[in-house]
Amino acid sequence: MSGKGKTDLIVNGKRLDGRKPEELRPVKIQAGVLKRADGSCYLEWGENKVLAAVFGPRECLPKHEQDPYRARLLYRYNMAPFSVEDRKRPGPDRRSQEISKVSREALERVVFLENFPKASIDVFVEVLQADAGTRCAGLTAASVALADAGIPMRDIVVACAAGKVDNEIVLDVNKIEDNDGQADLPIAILPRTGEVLLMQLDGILAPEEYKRALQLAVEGCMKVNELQRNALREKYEKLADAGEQKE
Amino acid sequence: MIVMEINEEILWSVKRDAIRALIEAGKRSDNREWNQFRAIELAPDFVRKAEGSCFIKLGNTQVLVGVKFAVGVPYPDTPESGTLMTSAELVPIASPIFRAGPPDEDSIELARVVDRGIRESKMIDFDALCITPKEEVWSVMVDLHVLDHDGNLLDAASIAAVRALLDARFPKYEDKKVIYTEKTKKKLPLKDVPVSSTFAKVGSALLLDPLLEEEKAMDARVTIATTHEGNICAIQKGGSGSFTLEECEKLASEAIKAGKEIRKQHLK
Amino acid sequence: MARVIVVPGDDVAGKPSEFTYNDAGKTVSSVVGIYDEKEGVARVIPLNGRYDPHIDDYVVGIVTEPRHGGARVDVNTPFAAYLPTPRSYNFGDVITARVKDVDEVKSVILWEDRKVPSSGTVIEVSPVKVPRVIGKKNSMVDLLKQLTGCDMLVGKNGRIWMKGPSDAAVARAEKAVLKIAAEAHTPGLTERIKEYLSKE
Repeated sequence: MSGKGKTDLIVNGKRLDGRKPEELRPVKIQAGVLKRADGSCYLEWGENKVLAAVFGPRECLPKHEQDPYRARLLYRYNMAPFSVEDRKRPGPDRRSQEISKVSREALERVVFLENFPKASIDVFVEVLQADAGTRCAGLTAASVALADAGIPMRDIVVACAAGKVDNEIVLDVNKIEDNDGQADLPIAILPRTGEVLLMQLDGILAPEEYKRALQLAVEGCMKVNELQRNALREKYEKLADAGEQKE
Repeated sequence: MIVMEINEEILWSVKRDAIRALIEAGKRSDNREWNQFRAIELAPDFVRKAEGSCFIKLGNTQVLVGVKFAVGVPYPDTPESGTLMTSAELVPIASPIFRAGPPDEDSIELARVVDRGIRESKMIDFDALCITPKEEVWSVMVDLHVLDHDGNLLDAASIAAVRALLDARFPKYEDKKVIYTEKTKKKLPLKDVPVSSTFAKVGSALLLDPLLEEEKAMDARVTIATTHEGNICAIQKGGSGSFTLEECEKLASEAIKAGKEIRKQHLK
Repeated sequence: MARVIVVPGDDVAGKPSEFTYNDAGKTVSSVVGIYDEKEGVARVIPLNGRYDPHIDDYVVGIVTEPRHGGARVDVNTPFAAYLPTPRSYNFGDVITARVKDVDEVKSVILWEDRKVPSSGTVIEVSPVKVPRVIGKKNSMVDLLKQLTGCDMLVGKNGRIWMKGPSDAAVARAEKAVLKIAAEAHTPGLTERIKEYLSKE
């Protein structure tokens, strides 16, 4: 975020990629794409490509992290070396670790961890191609993967970012806008209640701008949440009246 | 890092005998011939922003390979040659027994064996990667990102890596800076198209392109990379079992045959 | 009542029960599953999930640690169950047992253990598919045994032991079970399985 406020990112109400200020990039979501993982989700958000997988509940390792009252939630956000312009060395860097932490914290009160004492629920997000907004794409995919794995939760968490570009509040900034934008506000919410579970800000926003950005980001979240729910339903669409399914 | 979870280990130990018995009876659980590859699906240029990439589905094994270019200083003993570096990540999403951590011996072996097949076949014309002798050369970085492990990561990664290198395009290089957002039409200077074929040995049976269950039951494996002229350019034997001399020769000629087929179908 | 697919967070009618929760008076689904309402209670059958042990469950386990006076047994839960027993077992022995107790940290105690004949094999499906593999009044598992000639023991924990007259027979049975698990929620499955097994 260079914050220089380049003034040719929005021209005649249109952004460089043709979007209106309140428009989302196209999002595609597929549930259940990996064989080995208990639950998984492949998600494309604009040029972002992320793959999330969930294992669990399973044995909690290392053993000293076992909690007798609830499962431990592990969230690991990782970028493939070829996902960004300048090749990224494999392994967690400080940015990835921070994203992992705030993403885990967004999910901790949503997943019914108390159902699985002493166990671990492991969430892994791999960014295959990055174009700004990867933490939101990753958390959005992770929620679908958790549901796909059958992990009980209060709701499907969704994330989306708003930003300030060219002195205007816009929804879902892409990489070019992120590089020369003035502020970036990623959030994650619980759709049922609108509770904000993740929120970060880079840049400067006046109070009115902050309010507008929050509002836009929530709208974006609700739109993406529809897609998450559809993706899960679609996976099991072959279901008809499973009359023989008895307990 | 791989930590054998008791859960995973225990189930395989019970299944091992049943799998071995099936194989000794001359069958494979997916009804393939001993020298048959699984169905291969390639999605070239999957990561469009990278200089080169290819996603592969080999049966249920899924691997994504990315190719990045950078400009760097050449090695002092080869001042007019570009460089190649291959790395592998066995990320946790690919299998319940992969855990996060620094590369372990399996990911290191995977990277080095894929690298050997590419390097020894002389696939890349390294001298043509020179920009300014002794100062600036192109370095090619191949990253193998394993996404779903159902056996034979070696061949899956290798085939995808070769496809990615075949399609990779140089980014613009201007005023000593690489402009990644502008790709040129120029491709890598290539002289060969290596193909790797991996065989597992289970009892006395030899199996090309082993499934995960076959790898769990195997005594040994061997990976053989071949060139488009039908020569052998790299070999890696793994596992603590052994091969007879006849088997070594038989597998080499099978590898050449399999290599020709794969080259024809997927690596033009 | 028509069955509907619900996802976590969806409001459903009926009093809360397993796989649903109460949110300020509303009943909400907590999993992806099939929902219907029966006698005023919301019923959600999950479409995926690991094994959640309950007392009296019949399970197929694998001995991981024989001990004096008992053994630790893997029953597809995050950590091994404990079986107090006078019988002596070896690592890797396959047994059937019943869940005697599940405590508040989900530690499982087993009893009524029986060793299964050796030289069989064990496969795993998601525990939520087990009812379909068994079928109404054992109809599906009986069909499988009849058409493959295999002996089978189906554990509520998603583990299925099978032994047959030949390895090919066991392989067929295994494939059929995996097919049932994959298509558990489609109609006409029994017919398709009959057809599938008659072909090979």
